[in-house]
Amino acid sequence: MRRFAFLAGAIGVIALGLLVTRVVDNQYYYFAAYVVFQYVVLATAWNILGGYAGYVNFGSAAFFALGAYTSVVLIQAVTTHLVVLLVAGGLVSGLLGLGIGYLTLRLRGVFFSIATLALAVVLQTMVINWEYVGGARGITVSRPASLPLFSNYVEFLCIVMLALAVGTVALARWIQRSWLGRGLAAIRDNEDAAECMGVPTLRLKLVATTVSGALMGIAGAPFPYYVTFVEPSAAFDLNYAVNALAMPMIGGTTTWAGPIIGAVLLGTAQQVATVTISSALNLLIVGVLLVLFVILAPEGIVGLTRRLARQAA
Amino acid sequence: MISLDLLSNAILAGLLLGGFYTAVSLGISVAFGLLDVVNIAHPVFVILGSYMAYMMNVGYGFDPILTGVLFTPLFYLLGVAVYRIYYASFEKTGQESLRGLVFFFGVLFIVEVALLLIYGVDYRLVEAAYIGESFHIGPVGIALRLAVPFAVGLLLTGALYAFLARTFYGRAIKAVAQDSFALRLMGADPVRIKAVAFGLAIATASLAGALLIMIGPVEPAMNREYIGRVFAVAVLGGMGSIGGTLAAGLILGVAESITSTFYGPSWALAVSFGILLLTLAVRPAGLFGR
Amino acid sequence: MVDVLLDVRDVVKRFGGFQALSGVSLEVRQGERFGLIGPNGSGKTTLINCISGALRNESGSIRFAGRDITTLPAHRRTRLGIARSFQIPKPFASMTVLENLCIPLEYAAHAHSHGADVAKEAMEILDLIGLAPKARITPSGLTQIEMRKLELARAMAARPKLLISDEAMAGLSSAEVDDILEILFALNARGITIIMIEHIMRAVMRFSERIVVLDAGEKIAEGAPDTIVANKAVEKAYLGE
Repeated sequence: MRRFAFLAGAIGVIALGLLVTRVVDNQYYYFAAYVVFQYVVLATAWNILGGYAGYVNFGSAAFFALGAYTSVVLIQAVTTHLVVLLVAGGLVSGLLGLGIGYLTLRLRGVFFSIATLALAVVLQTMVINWEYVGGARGITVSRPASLPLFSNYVEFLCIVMLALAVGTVALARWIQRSWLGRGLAAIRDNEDAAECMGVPTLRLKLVATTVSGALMGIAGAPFPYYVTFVEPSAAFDLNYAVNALAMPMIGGTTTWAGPIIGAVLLGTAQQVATVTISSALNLLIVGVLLVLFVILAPEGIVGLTRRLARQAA
Repeated sequence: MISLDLLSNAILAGLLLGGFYTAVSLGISVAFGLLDVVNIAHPVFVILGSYMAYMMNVGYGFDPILTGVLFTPLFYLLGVAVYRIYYASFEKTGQESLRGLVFFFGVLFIVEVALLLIYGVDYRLVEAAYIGESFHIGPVGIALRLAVPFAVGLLLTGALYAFLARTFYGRAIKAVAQDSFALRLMGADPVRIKAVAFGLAIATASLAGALLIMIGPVEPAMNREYIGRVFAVAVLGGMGSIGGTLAAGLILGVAESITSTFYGPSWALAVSFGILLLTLAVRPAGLFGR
Repeated sequence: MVDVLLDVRDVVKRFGGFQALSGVSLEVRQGERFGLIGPNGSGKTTLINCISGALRNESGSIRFAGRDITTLPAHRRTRLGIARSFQIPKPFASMTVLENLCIPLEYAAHAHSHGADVAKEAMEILDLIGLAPKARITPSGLTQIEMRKLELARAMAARPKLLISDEAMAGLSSAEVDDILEILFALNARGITIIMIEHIMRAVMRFSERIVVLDAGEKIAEGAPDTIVANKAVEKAYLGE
């Protein structure tokens, strides 16, 4: 996709979103769309480290929730400006990514993955025991007044998340097509060979971990305004861990388009399904799909369509 | 001034808990330590064992340990089946690092959510005659709900150690870890042996789960707390060393107990995380590693 | 006065309780064709791993072009000019043959200018080595000898001063061995110092100006090919008493 076409598409999508807020009134759509856009960010962020570099993060919930709780702290202590919250969420979660990476990326990839799993549990326990952010009971946050262009704050948040999604995808696409992306692909394909070919593997992995973590934190930063009541079980929901992983794996991990496909398909399906089936059953289905795809169609939907296209040609 | 009484109680409780942690980690010691299979789903199989014990206890009044032992063959078969799928899908094609991990995460997820759907989020516990009791050695009181899992955990550890050291299959398992090519030359099928080993690893989860629900109430999400613990024990002990797993389990138990007593229970989880990272940073081969 | 390009002194490497290298020293001169031989398990690949930085030696020093590189990570050593091929080829499976070469070109040869037009250079190397027709396919479509050539091509793409070829000819036919040998001679003619590890004796004897023999982690002989052939200790190491 040429750079111009992508840019045009990106602007077009945001413009379309703005148009929709003028026309559609049913709040349900905005709530649902917010979640889907949020998953586009999370899935794309996960894929920068997981798909491009081959390092699996099981603790996406930790980075997401950290962004959310950084906002809670800032809202209470300092400021309610969304931009500040976004930047802070990104910084803090990015630092967490850098820290975990620094501690574990010199070892085998599995130890990084185990550390991310353990991290999520530890972080959740710490938050539960921190009264300032509400502890286990949770905390209420009030939404700021809405901006002139929008009828209410949720519609505004939805467009913000849409813009974040577009931005994240643009970043992922740039990384993928740049020297950084090629280096990460070399690491994924054969890390020993990459290192011996001059690729600074540790440095690139740290960059990917930091960027990935930061983006997840940015996705989490507006969360308090979205839900207005923040509790650990919601912020650290298993949903985030499995979806951030399943969406890219099902959509396709080698390209920036895969996570979008996975997020939109799975995210929309889940939003629709939660109305009819319990959220636990919902999650079970995602889990089964994940296992099926990783066994039968590891290259995801993107890979499948490519194969079909080749066979048809 | 640290109360000596408090400290000695913490250490004692920690040792007892540590024996149990060893039992839970045996499966990882074999699967990850000997077979290099990163089975992060092991703790959820332990929880599954807990729920089996619960089900038989509530339904038929079975003693949890009895259930643990009875269900061991079923868990063994489950383990063999899971390994066969894993091998065919990933190990054979060399994709085990990324995809194998994701596979086990998927399995973990499916079992946890299935348990949630069937049993709900409430904590479940078992009733047995001896669970509420304690006995005394001199001035020290020891709760049976800790002592019995400790004792059974040690027995399980000993049994596994003996199996690996004395039987043909056991030695074959240790051999396949070191040189599967030589094994093939000797006429043994490495894949079959690895399937047996992995089946054994999951088999231990049945009894370990029964012990877990004796110590305290259980709910499905708990499996994720234990992932850090079992890998910390396996790595600290030295991959594949059963004796090492025992030492590491006891160390972790005591460290957690002391932390919990003096800094509060919420920091106990961070201990295993810390031990894992520390071991990997300082001595990745573990205490008794090859 | 010929310059010493690689200076290895008393390198010791242990794996747990096993000592793979027990104080190995050698010198490779600028522009030399250097052979490294020894029975299986003698430590050749371990030594190469220590030189390239894939492993860290416990003690001893390694100097390259006058600079101490003992503690440098592998990718820095590659940028300084050491390249190696792997005994078992490790291609980047998701990339085309051409893209496989772009990685070392971008990261090692043109280390800090990622904008360079590496595709053209990569194509030139592929032409030289005879893989140009296969440029646009992934490594899964290559034959055995083509994989070995790709390994060498990748090492060449790093624009090294020292190229280490680790058993590039193992399992190849006589004609294929000559093919690889020709490439290595051509590289040497352009000024690249080459260390060759091989079991195929006729290739090593023909190619090397000097040979070092390792056995059980120690250097047991060093010298021109004809002296090595006549050396009793070498014969014993390979054939036993």
